[in-house]
Amino acid sequence: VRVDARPQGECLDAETLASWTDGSLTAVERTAAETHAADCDRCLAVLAAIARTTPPPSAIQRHSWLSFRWLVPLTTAAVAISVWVLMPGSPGVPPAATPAAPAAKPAEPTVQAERDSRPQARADAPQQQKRPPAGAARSSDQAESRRSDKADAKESTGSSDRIAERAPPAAAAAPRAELKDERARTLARAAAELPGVIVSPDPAVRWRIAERSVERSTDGGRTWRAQPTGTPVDLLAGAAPAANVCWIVGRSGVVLLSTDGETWRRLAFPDKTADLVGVTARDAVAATVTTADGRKYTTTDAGRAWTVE
Amino acid sequence: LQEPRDVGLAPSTIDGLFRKADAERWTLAREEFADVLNASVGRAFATGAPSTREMDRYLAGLHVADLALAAACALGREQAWDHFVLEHRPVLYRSADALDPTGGARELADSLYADLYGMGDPGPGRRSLFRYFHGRSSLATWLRAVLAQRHVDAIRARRRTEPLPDDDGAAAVVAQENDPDRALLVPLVENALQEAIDDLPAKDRLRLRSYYVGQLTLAEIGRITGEHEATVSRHLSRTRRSLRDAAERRLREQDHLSDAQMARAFELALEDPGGLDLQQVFDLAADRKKPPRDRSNYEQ
Repeated sequence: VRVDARPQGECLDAETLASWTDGSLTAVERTAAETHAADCDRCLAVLAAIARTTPPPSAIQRHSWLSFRWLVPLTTAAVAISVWVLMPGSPGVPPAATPAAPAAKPAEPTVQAERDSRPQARADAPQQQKRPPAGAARSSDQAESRRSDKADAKESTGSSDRIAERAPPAAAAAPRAELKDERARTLARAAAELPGVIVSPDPAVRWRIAERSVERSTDGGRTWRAQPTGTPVDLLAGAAPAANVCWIVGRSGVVLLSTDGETWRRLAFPDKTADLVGVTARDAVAATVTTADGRKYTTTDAGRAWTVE
Repeated sequence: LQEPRDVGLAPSTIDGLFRKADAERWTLAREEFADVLNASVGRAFATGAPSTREMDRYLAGLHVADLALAAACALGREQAWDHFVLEHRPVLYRSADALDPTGGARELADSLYADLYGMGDPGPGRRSLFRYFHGRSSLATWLRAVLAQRHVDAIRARRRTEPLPDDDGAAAVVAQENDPDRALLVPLVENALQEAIDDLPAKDRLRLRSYYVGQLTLAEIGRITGEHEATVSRHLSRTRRSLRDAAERRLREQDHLSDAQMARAFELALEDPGGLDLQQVFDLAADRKKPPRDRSNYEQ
């Protein structure tokens, strides 16, 4: 079975590829670039080549931190409440007859860094040829420089293949790993639970979205029932202005509406390439959706017409 | 390419970015810096006037120090070239060696270096490749992107001129073509799979092709998609399931194949996997054959 390549538009230029790599494309540009590269052999090969020359990323770790950034105020509040509750003489706790239990240890980091933490190979010595050769001729000092560069490159490129070797010995790390795993699972559960839950004015009725699936609960989140939407893209946000009305938006201009709390229909949206990241809804016909690049579209007739702000 | 628009940046904006770029370090005049800045903004917003917020966001993300360095190099300023050679040539050579450990890409790095200096332009005067750098990425990343493009184009050009290998399997192909099951079933599988792939979101297709066609590791794909390799692995698993489900649904509902016919169809399709190996994608024979190589800790 072969994958036919039918790329849309022109191949990505170096500036776009570099901006993609550096993460400086806008959401719209990024989506367009991904759509082209997904079907273009040449651009895919260039991206692969760039990836092979890319030092191990630091952005991923930053992203992991950012994704849990909402926990900071939550954790601070939890610590403050714990301190208040445990303080001798505070209204919630009788005076302690015995010394207080030792304070809990600070939390272990939950994300294990898997990238190479070694510093980048240093730049070469300053004794370099300043101007390029007119042809392909190279002097002996260039050859020496090349050997030195090769050694540096070998160090830097070989590092990513040694991730497994850097893992700590299993026996010594097992209890800590279990602890970390448990914390990571707890955080992941919390992260997966909270941002995707859409609570209606009736607290017992709520929806939750996870990538492309939608589930509804009518008992305050104790049990959930899947609802088919027939949507092949990631769903990103929702709003429920009534117990039987819910709007959900997602990638590629997807806007879903349920007016009976059970079934979903997709509404037409003017920009089919826009990733929709937010929605506020007044009722079953009026809502405003926000695109990843900040545009706002409003409808007052259940998606038959949209006006852009 | 669209023609850059004249956006007419405010003088105070240019002054601020001129200071931020420390452009005087390369004896770059304010007017020279303003020219490249306007060219960068004009190209980015060639299709329409940006809002104030879009413009602010664009200018805040610009690598103005690299833009000033590139502009000074393009104008032949000695100090700028000295700095560029010291800072960026090693990056270029390391990238070349990462692309081709045998040293083949060094030729490309040298020719790129010559084009950056403007020696590759046969026209009157010296036109440096730096004029294509507009500061949207770091200069180092842009250099790697240009080198990667040239490397891939060189490989593709070489492949076009290589003779096709002797067709030792001709007899086997004739035997396969005489199999009536194959003639009927394999095209059905191919069509079902192709349709399922076409229906995937672009990002899923990008991951799938990067992994199975481009043979990238999960970590490398993660660098392209901005995801952790464990996330890439999970997405690939989900995409595989979705592909198989979609292909089976089509074979059952549209082509009216029975379960036995479907199993036979997949079996025949496995014998000629082509660009996208069904065995890997569907994990149809995981117990019979190991994957070609372990590409990550997160390999399924």
